Amino acid sequence: MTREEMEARCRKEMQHMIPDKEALWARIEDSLPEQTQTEQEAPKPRIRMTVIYRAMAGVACLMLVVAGASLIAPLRNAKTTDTTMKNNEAAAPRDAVQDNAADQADGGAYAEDDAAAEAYEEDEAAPAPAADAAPDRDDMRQEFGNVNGDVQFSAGASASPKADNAADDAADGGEDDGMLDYSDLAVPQDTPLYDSIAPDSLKGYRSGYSDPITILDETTVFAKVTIDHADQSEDLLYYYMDLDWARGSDYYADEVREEYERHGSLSITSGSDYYLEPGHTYLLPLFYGADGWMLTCDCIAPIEYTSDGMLLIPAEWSEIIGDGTTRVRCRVPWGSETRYLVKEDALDDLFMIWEDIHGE
Amino acid sequence: MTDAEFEAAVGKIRAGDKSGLRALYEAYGDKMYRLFLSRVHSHQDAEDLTSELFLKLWEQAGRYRPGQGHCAWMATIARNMATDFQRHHGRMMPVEDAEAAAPGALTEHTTAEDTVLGDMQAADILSSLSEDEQEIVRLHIAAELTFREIAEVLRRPLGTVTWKYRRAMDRLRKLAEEGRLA
Repeated sequence: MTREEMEARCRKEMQHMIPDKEALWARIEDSLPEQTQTEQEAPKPRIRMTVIYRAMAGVACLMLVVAGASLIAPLRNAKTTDTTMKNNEAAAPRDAVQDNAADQADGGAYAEDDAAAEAYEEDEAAPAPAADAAPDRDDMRQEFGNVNGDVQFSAGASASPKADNAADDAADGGEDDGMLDYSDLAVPQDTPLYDSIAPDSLKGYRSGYSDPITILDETTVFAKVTIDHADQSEDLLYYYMDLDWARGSDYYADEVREEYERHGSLSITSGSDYYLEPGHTYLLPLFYGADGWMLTCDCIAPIEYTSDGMLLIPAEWSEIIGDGTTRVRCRVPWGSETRYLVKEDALDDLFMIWEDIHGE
Repeated sequence: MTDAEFEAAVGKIRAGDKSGLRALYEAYGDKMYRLFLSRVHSHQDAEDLTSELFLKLWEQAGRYRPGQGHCAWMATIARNMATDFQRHHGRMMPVEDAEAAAPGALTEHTTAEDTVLGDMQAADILSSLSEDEQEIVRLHIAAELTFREIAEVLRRPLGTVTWKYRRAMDRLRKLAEEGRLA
């Protein structure tokens, strides 16, 4: 039996119709007039009061704005420092993230319709994936969107997600409403590693997987690590890091842990120009290659932890991890690109799919 | 029904014109009924809930905002109603209701194809899935929502929804092949 046949079987089983549709409609219709009368009679005075209240509130607001403006103008002229401005900017987006997280946490509540209604403002024009498409991983790759297949990166390849992101930013003019900047996040804000490396010094060695299913397929261990330092040797970087935890099959996870205990740090080799910054904490997908432990996906940005329990994920993961509602502009050597801020428990979905792939 | 048609119907409802609600009932009555039935496993309860849903749509049509995805909007209301119902009545369905939900009980409405299914019931099939998977299968097959709409209803990433759906189908397929379904 194929998956499609099973689906058809379920469909048949669930294709119940209302036994007597007209009778049920008559029942609904009978209940309507009473509803209509009560609905139509009651609201009128309420609407009027609402209008009055709104008008009063509007006048009050206007007075406050005028008063506020006259107070603020002299202060502005006295030149507010950039630092103050920055602090204000940083505080506001952080609040936005918290609100966002609270909204997401709200998802389980059944506070009916108002909350529910607000959840649907997404783009309806986007095509839904076909329910009866062929069920292999190639199809999953297509469904996960932003998938370029197995992209072999070459310098300046326009098909790369990086180029897409950069193009997005260019189109946005980099001034998108509600978009955070990487500097707003609870991560170490030292000088980025890539400032000390010539942009063209790293090239090659970037085997390219950019779609999440392939990355998950190739990954044998996920490790949460904090980067200690990096050594550059020709066109490769050797990262040394502290291991928080490793997750994978017993064999591979044990290998990672043993290496960490044996050497006092875990080291990986990378040719990616998405640098791992010292002091920053990441979730790295790893496999054991010719040069030891290596990143599975050199082509996309690493998943980064913030110190306040959030995750910064590149766009390539966004269809699996989180709903990607909070966008973050990140600086990269070739300009900037957009990533998403999600709660840490969003990893459950990633691990579920990953373990499913490897459990088959 | 397209979003534009739905909005036109909602406009009529706001104006107190029953034909707007009738249009919604014609388009979505059976789907919502199926969604309820797959949750409550009782035709009578599913009918009651369907009736309540359309009365609710009559009252709350004003809350619908154009362009927000009407299928997901309705399905969320329906899903919340079913959840409330289950909370009040307990998740376990009475035996007589379970029997009523079996295809055999729908003699007037069953087809020859239904007979082929023997005594395999939707409830039996879905019970072998996780709750998440059950919900996704219900919304996709019973309510005929697209995966994107389901992602909106459940507030889960689209990729997770499609993956879970496929995994659910694979699991059911395996069970069927092993003779553990039906």
